[in-house]
Amino acid sequence: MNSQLRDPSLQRLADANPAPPARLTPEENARAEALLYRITSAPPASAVPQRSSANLRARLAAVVVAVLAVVVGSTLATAPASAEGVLLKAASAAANQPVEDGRYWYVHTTVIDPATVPFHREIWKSRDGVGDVLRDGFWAAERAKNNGSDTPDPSMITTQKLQTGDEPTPATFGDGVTVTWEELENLPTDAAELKSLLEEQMSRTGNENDDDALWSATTALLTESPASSELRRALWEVAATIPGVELLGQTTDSLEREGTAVKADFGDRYPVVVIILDPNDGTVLERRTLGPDGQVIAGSTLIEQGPRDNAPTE
Amino acid sequence: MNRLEDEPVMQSPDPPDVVFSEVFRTTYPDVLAFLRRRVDASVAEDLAAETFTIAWAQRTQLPREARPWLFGVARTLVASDHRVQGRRRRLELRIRAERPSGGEDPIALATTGIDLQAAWARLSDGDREALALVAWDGLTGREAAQVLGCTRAAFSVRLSRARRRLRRHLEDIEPAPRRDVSFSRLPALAIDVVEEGQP
Repeated sequence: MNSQLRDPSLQRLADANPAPPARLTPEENARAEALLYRITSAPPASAVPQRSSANLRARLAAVVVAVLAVVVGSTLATAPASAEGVLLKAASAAANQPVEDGRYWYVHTTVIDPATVPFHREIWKSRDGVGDVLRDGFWAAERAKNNGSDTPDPSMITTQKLQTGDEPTPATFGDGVTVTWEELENLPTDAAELKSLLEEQMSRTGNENDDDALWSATTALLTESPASSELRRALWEVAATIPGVELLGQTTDSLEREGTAVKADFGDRYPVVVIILDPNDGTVLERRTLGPDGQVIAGSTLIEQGPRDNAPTE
Repeated sequence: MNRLEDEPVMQSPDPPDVVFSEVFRTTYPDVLAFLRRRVDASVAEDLAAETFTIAWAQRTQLPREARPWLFGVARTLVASDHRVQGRRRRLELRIRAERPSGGEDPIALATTGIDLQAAWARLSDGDREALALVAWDGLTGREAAQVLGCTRAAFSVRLSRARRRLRRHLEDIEPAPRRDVSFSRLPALAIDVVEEGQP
């Protein structure tokens, strides 16, 4: 099942699908087979009789994704080391960072969203899902953007439970490959085994041999999860094996913290992502998704991450 | 045979293409359903035929995961087809599909359907499209981004926003006691926020 449909509102929509997936009727199937024969028996250009070739070419052009032309910020100074070297340094450092335990895993970030002004986001996730809370200023930031203001209205900041039902389910972590807290603890800490397992999970959604998917899976768990120090080391080591990651050099993030920037560019189909990390402790400080002109279209900056014994109530 | 100079010249009609036939038979029902969600049934089959005609013309560049590519072509055809103008379905709900799973109050269920319809009606076309690609067309965020020709991050932002609007509209509409039942769990919200680069 598409994991998105775990959201009850999306599941309700799915139940109201105006044309649910279904087998073709015998008549439809016969027409489809006739169409297939007609298409494959005719030269491509003559198979669309009602449209001009120019029109066809225009239509084809409309579905081609434009090449991303990424402009790297001038503040990034190139360093002599490689991206792989920086990521492996982060791996070693992460292995020395103890990760404490708590009832909730708390993450506080600032978010850049094209539809809003920047806003704060705090989330508390637990093993069992009970009491999980999201507090953010999305609505306030959207309103501010629409009103031409730079400042979200604090009174519109919402605190909402992530579940209110009778049967709580565990929170999940990750991007593409999502795991519960318990599953996270059981992930292999050997980089080769971990990579193999992640790729196996990716293949279930048709993303095998997809460097972008592997990069997203590893960096998401490094960005926001209670991964152990050994797992964080393995995640960085897996990330270091992915081709297409380039070292940009030393820089500062939005909070003026020193870090090292690496750029993940996996080709035209994917957005270019720049991550600023602290190789001295393996922390992902900031993530920026770049648009075609190199501008930041989305991103987040980590303010704080760690265990908590309590979460706020609504 | 007259051809434009820049069209590829085929030396002879291609032999039956086994790979293309396999792609066609696997994806045609999905493409047809995709179109039926967006246009009248009378037009859907014609546009499906056009979609696969374009796919045949581009068969050497067809990605291995062809479905999102085909949906993207179909979506472009819907947007530009003169027969569709003014008769586009605007992704309407099939409320009757919200069937009871047993024991529920039929009046409450009917109300639930009406609530969903009212909330859906308040969404913009853009929000509907993002939600439909995931909830109805069964695409992942990555695939939906391909269909729309945007980045995955941009789509995730768009989907996240649309979901939040839908939930907010539902909360505005539904009586307070039933909110807890309707919104039992929102784990994907947090997941999506990570996916869109907003951890």
